[in-house]
Formats: sequence, structure tokens, C-alpha cells
Amino acid sequence: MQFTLEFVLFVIFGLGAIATAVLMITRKNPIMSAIFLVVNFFTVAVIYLLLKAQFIAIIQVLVYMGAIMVLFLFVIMLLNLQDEKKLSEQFTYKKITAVLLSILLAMLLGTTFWFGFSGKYLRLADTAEKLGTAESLGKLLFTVYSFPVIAAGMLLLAGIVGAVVLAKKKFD
Amino acid sequence: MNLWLFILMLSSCDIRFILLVLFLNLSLLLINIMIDINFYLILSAILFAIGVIGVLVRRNAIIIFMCIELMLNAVNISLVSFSSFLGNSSGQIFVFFVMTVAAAEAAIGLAIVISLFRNKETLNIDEINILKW
Repeated sequence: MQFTLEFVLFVIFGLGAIATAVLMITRKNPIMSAIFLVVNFFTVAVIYLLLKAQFIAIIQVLVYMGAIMVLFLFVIMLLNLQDEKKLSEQFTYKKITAVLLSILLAMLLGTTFWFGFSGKYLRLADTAEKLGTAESLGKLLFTVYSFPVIAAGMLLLAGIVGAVVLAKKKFD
Repeated sequence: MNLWLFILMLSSCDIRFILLVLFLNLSLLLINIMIDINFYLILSAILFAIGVIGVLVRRNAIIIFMCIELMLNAVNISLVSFSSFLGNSSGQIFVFFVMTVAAAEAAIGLAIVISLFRNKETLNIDEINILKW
């Protein structure tokens, strides 16, 4: 209806997300691409806020930008990849085919979304603001989804043990 | 009003005036746009395709892991947008669990990368081909 602030923010941060993603996959230095991935996660967090999902946005900043990216940067620094020639990236017909097929995938998904959902859901639901709070999601997580929460905890425990075992120096 | 402006535009030969009218028409077009669910879904489709390009084209194992995180994020955008446009909070719960699995996957994957680098001194996935038939 109006030329709203929401639209302006969506355009700025959506284009920012796409630009940082493209920059991420084109950098030669892994540290630069990790930093661009952090910026990309930040723009995605802003898009979650535009969708009124506050809890998910905060979790995105804490978990992805805080924990996972620190892990990535830590591993990159640990491995000390000074020899970039070993990772030579040359153009072959395989890679060109892969890019073309990925563009085809994007167009396929885009046309499906465009013709499948155009004009059906024009605005956010009235309850969207209440749905995204930590209160409502926490209520659901501890009642309806209590078993999946326990399963996710077990998964994280298995992940910790597996990571320690895999990264150990020698099996005694 | 647009018709009058169009006739004026055709009748005048001033390039600045034509540009002004075109700009006005374009801004009128933009004013009528409102963000519905399509924009978010198409953004998520584009991000997903960029992640697929990264996984298929890059040869560095760490960058491939980062592209997988990018694809998980793209799917999360579409889940959250469905959740808030339809007024159902299951999508955001799913996003919570996807993030949990992504954290576990990143930890395991990076441990695998470290042990691979310890054994083969490389991260190029073309040279890591023990399991290839």
C-alpha cells in the first residue's frame, strides 16, 4: 500500500545478503570468505526481524555469528593454509555446467514460488508479533516439543563427544 | 494523470523532462509494491542457489562447509517467512532445531577437517579420494 520503511529495509538487506553470499564464494582467502559469511548471517538476522521473529534473530546472532563462525575462524587459523596454490581453482567444463544448473535451480524455485504464492499471503499474520517472542516459543518448546528438545540435547552431546574423538591426536 | 504526462512526454523533445516523467512513473510503480511472501521466498531461493554453486565449484573443504551453512540459512528464511505469514509457530520451532543440527554438524565437520589435514596435509577435496571407487 505504502512505500514503507519495511520495503526499503528488505531491499537493502536482501541485496546485501545476496552480495555478501556471492563475495563469500568468490574469495580466494578462506578468512575473507568467513568474514563475509558473518556479514551474511547478520543481514539474514535483520530479515528475521522484519518477519517479526525476534527470538530466531537473536539465536541467529548468538549461535551462528557467535559460536559457529568463531569455530570456523579458529580452524582456519589453526590449519595455517599458507599454500594457496595447492587449492588451485581453475575453470573447467564441469564447473561451468554446475553454475548453469544452479542458476536453473534458482529459476525453477523462483517461478514456483512466484506463481504458487503470488497474491495469497499479502501481509504478515496478525499474531506474527506474538509468535516470535521467546515466551511463546519457549512455551511450545517445553510442552508440545519437549521430546524433540531432549533429542536435540542428545544430538549435541553426541556431537561434542564425536568432535573430541575425531580431533584427538592418537587413539590409545 | 499518467496519460497526460505520457502525451506531454511524447510532445516535448526535452530529454530532462522525459527522464523526470519516467522517474515519476517508476516511483509510482514502486509505491504500489508491498512485500508479500514471494519476496522472502525468492530471496531464500537465490541464497540457496548461491550455496549450491559454492559447494559444486569450490575445492576447499572449509569453504564447502560454509556454503552448507549458507544453504541451511536460506531454508531457514523460507521456514520463518511461512511461519509469520501463516500465523503458525511450528516453522520457527523447526528453525530452532535446524540451528541445533547445524551447530552439531559444524563441530563434527571441522573435527573431520582437522583430522584430514593432519593425515593428508591438504584441504583440496580432489586429492582426498580414498573412498572414491
